[in-house]
Amino acid sequence: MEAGSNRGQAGATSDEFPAIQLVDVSMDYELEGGETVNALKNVSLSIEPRQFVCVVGPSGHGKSTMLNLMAGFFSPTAGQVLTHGRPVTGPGADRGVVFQRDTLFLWKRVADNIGFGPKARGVPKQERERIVDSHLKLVGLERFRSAWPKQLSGGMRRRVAIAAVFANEPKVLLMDEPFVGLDYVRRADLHEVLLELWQRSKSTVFFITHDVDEALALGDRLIVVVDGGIAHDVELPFERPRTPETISSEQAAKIRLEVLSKMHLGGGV
Amino acid sequence: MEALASHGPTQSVRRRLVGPGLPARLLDLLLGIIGLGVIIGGWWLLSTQMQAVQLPAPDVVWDAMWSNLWEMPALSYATFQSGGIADGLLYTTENVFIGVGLGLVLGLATGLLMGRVRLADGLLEPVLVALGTVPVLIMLPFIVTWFGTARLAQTGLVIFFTFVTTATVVRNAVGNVAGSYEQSAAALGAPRSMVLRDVVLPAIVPEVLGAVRVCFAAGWGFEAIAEILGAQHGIGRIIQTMGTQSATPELMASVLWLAIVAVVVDGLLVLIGKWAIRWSE
Repeated sequence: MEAGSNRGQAGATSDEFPAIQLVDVSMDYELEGGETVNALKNVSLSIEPRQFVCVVGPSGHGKSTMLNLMAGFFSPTAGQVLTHGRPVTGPGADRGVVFQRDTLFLWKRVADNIGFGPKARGVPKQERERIVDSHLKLVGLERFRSAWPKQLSGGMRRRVAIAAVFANEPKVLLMDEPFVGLDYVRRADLHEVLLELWQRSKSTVFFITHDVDEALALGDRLIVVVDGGIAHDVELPFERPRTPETISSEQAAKIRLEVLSKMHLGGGV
Repeated sequence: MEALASHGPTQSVRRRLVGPGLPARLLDLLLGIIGLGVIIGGWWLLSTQMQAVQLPAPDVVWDAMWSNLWEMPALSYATFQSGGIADGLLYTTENVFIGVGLGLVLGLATGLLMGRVRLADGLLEPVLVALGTVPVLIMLPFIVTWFGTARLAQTGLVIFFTFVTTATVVRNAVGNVAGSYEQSAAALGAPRSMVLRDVVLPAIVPEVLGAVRVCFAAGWGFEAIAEILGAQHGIGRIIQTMGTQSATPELMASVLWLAIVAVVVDGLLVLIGKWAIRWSE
């Protein structure tokens, strides 16, 4: 419902405001022992519409917390989270999430998994079928329309998860290490699918990875999160489409070195 | 990309979808028949060493199973009732289905409420835990006091057991699916009603089916005991009457029929379950 109203204003406002904005955001968790962990400390960040932002950093230093706040799964302890100029008050269809863990609905066939978001938004059945068909085609799974998730390989499941999120036409796509555990070829293949969908849908992407090379291959911008803050924030000036040469260029090597040194300086390694 | 998309379900999955081959299934069947044969053979041997009233031979019981199915002279002699084992069994089966059905509806509603609403969970958890620790048979005298010999008095135990079991299972199952699936559904824009209908309910089907099987299995026993202790009808009543008359072949025939019905119902539940959770890994 909320998502719908955001969506309604999309055309008018999407370029006036940042797609995602964190204003002095802090997030504290209380552990069971009563200790408080400051997962994020006064973070401010602005992501322009259509930007592909990659986020790297040591585990447990706040990357996923940032994503969960943007998704609306939690509220910040202090500060404000905005999407297209409006405060985030909860999860919504305008911000799609691809999780690291597999969250396909096992009791729904592939087509119904992809059609879930449109169904939730009240898209009529015929239109829904059309959306499902086109997204199955985009991720190359037309033949698996009526398969159960259990019949698919890990890479194929990831494609379904991505198709399910894109079928909802989110303005912002939040991805938390979505390709972890896949081999190099499968991953490169999914990168292609993702970039194609991103360019087509003109969405904004916030992509968490632990792999600097993956970030260099995908992003317009690379952010390093260390110890609950942004340690480094750099534009990636490479042209698209990117090739293996791009990420092995001298310029890329320099950025990689900077990024890695920032991660070490933070005391995370 | 094409290469990836074309390799389809993996080998292991394909094997599982097809199931074990025909020879393997024939072997299973053969082994089952041999096992049953050994038990009946042992029974027969034992019966030759004991008095007929203690342990009648298998063929005597077999005859009793069929000759008492529709008319039971020993029963009409003792209770002035007409009908045979089939009539008692029908009454018992009806009660078990009614009991499990009612208990399931109540348990499902309670479990969902507890799993979804924190306040309800806080209020009801101690009650459910307390009820779960009460040995079910202890409830019987209370149920008989309240409902006398009415149908509800015998079904009460089955309702009670099914309710407590289902509520506990559903509550825990709802808690387990809550996290990741619900987050994912919410991020796709699903309202609460859709999360319940399209996510929570289908996700807990495997656990609910397991609970239903357990409740049926226990239900036959509880129903029969309740009937033995004070019913005008049912297979338990027949068993009790035959026991007091030392009509051992009829007694064993009744017990065997009850077992057969229980096994058939369980087999049907397994079939339904296999279809209902064909998506499950």
